Amino acid sequence: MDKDEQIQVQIERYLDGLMTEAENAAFEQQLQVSETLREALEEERMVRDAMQRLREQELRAKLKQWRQNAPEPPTSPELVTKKRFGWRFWLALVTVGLLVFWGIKLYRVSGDKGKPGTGNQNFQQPNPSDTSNYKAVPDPTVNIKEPVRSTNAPKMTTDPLLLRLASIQKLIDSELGYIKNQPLAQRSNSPAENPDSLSAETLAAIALEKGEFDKALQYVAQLDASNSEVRNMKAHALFGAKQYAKATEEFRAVSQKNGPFKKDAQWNIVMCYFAQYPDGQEDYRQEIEQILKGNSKWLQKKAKDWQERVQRSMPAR
Amino acid sequence: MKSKITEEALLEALRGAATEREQALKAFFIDDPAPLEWVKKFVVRMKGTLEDAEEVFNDAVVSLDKNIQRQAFEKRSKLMSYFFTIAKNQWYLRYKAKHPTVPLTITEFELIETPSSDSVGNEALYELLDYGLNALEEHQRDILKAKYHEKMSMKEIAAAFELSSENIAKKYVDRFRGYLLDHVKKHPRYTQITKTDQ
Repeated sequence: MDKDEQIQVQIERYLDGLMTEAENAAFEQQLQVSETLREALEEERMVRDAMQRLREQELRAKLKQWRQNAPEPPTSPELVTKKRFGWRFWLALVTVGLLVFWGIKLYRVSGDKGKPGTGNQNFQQPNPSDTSNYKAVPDPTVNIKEPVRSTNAPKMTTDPLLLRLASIQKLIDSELGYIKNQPLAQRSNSPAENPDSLSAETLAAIALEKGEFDKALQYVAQLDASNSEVRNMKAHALFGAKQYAKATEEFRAVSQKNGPFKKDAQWNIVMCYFAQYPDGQEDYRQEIEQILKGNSKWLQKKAKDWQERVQRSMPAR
Repeated sequence: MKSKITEEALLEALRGAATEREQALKAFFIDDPAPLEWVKKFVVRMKGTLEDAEEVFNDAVVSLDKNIQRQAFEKRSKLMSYFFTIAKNQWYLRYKAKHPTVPLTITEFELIETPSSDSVGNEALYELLDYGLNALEEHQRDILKAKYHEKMSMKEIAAAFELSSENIAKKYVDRFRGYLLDHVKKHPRYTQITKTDQ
């Protein structure tokens, strides 16, 4: 091995870190005194740098090739989400969603308030197809057949007002139990046994129960009109015959006299106004307000329950 | 697919010849998608794109390979932690290059390795080295690659290139090494570069 070869070997061992500490120190001392050695070391470094650059270029090309040949790993949804939809996006989305939600809510509330004479939730259009609320109403007194006039309701109409009226009518019909004459069942005998032997009052009550309101009115007309019980029956018959204005007058007369029909009559006035929609809106609202301000807790509860029922029967906008 | 080789085996392989190193790198960083996924998540979280992430990943693999060859990696930490630190630094350098007016935070700045003197201001010399290598013929480069990349002995080079003896192999290596240096040193810009350095 000639001198140049020995120098080359030393340089390679130095750059590869293969020298011992003593060898390293001695070599670095030699470097300080020998320019030839420094030049040789510099040249070897240059060659190594050149080869390292070539190596890097080749490795990059191979990495690219490997990545192309490798099966693409499924990009995690988290990664995609983070890039495209960061937390700011989701925060904005939730905020917009809440704003829209509350906007709709406010719009509905303001829409209700904007209707003349409706209070907050009165006279909203119940969903005609949704009868679940009506069926849930307890029937407190007697077995009530489906009112005959309900068959005349404009069920298939597409006119919004008529639809609304039809649904209100359904609600009223379902409420007939509330305005039914309470002592009716006690007085009633079987009409099939001997109808002629029954009094006009009993026949009126039976007709009323059967939903034969015109007939009931005929029987009532034969009775003493000053009697509260008779007036009460007359009012029910008028209500059933859809003569709401007259029914209101009769119920009001009954409500002004103390007796067993007073509170029912007060409530039935509300029902009469409700049934006169849209004409009775303002009167209905005033009656409800009077009841809510009044002393009767029973009536107050009834009014609140009713308002809730009306509210529930409102179709979602 | 999880890499089947251990960190120790990878480190051992990365200290070896180029072919061995490439196999290890492929097994550890390509066949196992976890490192790339990690880099992608990091870069995307740091406002980069997936394309940035791919480039950062490649840079980090190349740097890892180079640093281990230069014995810059001291086995004080896990090799993968070292790789992820390199990837982070690569991203910060890339980000800083794209946004030169954006100051990095202290934490970010501390993560960046101080560039070594041989990587700063030597870009002109590197270009000359590339020029010198390109000026060589392919078989000349291949023989140098056999020595410097594959770390073959002269005997192995002689066998691989069907040369008659180790001495002939050594002569070829020295000659082609000389050609490379000549191409570089005789370039008009070389004197200019070395004068500037001095």
